Amino acid sequence: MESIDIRNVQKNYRRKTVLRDVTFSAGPGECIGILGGNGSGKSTLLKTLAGVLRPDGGSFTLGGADLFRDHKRRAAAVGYVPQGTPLLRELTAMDHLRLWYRPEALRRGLSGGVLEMLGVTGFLKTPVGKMSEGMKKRLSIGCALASNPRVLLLDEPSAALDLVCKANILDYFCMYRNRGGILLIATHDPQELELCTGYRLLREGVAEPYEYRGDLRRLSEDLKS
Amino acid sequence: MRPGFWPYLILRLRRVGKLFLPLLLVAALLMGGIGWFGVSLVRQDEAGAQRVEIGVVGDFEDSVLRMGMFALRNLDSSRFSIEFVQFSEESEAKSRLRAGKLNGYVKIPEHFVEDVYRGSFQPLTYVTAPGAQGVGTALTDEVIVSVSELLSVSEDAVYGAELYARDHGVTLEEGSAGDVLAMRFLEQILRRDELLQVEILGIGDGLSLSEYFLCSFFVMFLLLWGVSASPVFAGQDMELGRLLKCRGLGSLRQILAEYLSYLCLMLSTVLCLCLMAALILRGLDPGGDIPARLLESGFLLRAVPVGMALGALQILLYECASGMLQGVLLQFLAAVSLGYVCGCLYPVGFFPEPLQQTGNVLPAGLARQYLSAALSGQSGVWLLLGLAGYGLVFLALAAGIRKHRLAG
Repeated sequence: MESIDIRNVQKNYRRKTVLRDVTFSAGPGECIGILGGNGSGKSTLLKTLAGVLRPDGGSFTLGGADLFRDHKRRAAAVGYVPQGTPLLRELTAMDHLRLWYRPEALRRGLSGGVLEMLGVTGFLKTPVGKMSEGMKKRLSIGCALASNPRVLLLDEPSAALDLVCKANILDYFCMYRNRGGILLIATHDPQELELCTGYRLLREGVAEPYEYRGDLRRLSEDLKS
Repeated sequence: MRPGFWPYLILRLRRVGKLFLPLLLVAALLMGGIGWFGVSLVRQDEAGAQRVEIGVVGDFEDSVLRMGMFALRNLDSSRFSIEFVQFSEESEAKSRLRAGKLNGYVKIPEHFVEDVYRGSFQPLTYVTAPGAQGVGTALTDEVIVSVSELLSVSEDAVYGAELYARDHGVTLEEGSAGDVLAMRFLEQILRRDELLQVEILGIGDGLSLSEYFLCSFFVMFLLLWGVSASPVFAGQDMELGRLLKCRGLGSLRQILAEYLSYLCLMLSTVLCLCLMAALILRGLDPGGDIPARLLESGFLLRAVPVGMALGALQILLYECASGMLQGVLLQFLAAVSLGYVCGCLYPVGFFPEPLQQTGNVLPAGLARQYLSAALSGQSGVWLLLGLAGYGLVFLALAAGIRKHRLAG
């Protein structure tokens, strides 16, 4: 099993430095909660690691391979679930799954695989425009898992979801983690925080180690400071 | 798995497949509206061309002037298209002109006849209102200039006839043989239609008015099609694009896939509507040759590169818009301004020369000329190259904007 190693990752937006020096690592079965106030760079960090944004410095390795340079490896090894909905409202769940999955992998996923676990099989023919937020999120996660990635980057995955849907998704993340997957979650949600095995607090572009003991009040004060 | 270009194109095609029927309906309404506007404009112009009313203001006491007017009214070939109305007072003519009941009037200066006798007459003045009566106004202005010249020439002719009569010892009195002589002289001068074969080539590009409007309104329809498709294409969320980029599908290939699917939708809609229009035309006029002519001339085939260039422009505009409303506005403003400047709403020949030149090199202008070339039997290779160039530039710009948006 391979670990990820994030070293001195930097990202600037024109003159503004958003990520100055982000350094941490995570091993198989670990779930790292990325914490930080609004605009602290949580989403930017995940987008940079996912390859949406080009980093201005640093490295992101998985088992020694630099994923910032090896785009093919990164595409296969890293799954990314954005905060928004990466879906087209006129199309059905099945239409979207066909984009991301090879036919054989799709069959496997739908019969006893990851898509069945996420409950996507229940709304395969439903157009996205008629889906609930929970359905959309489950489908987005299903799409991100198409390449069977070792690392899953999640940007506030259960925001605006009802309790049942949130529980369903968190159960899946728990299982993913227990199977040796690595999760990086940008979140403030207490239930998602409980899933994490470690925390990093983004402050002034630096990811500091953080001790979270279930005290949300302290966390909010730390985020303000 | 990395979603490649083809799976993404298929996804996009599935999407446009689901949008086909609603957009076809909207496009049919749009085409109906444009068609109705075009037909009414052509009919209005034809009706206007049949009857141009021109006033003549002056002192008609003089028998020579009366004879000149009589000649213009009864002998000149313009009598079929022009009606002359006499006014003794300019104010009366002016008020009718302001009320839009007159296309213009010719003012005969005082002592005009005496000046003619002396051999140096003052020029006639013609007065017209600034054009607000459609295509006919510009033509009317030309007609009035011609009439003012004709009137001078006819007076000159009457004078010449009188001199001729005097030289031969004939005294001219009203209704006398001298009058007959003068009238015959005039007849010889005014039978211009026998001396000159006038062939109307049309309003632009050597086409008839109907053909011109067929080409220009087709381009206008394609431009406005972008407006009707805006609610589904403008202001797209970039999350899917970002995810695709993570998996190796960059902005250029994303734009290309979206463009191809958009083009499929646009062209299939146009094809369906053209078929429907052909069937309707065949039903209305079984002997008519318009559908066959469009096929034989390659007009419909040429609609493909035109659609490709204008589709690329629309993809660029969608990419520039951050929301649906902004997209609709952007497409509408672009369609109307391009359509106007490039002669798709009004014949380009009536614009000042610099504006004509500008309009002719803009994408809609090239598109209109390329379609016109099909009807006038020209190849239009350079126009095709121009359209291809525009298409590539628009797509490259759209890809650049997409790249910027994905990073945002």
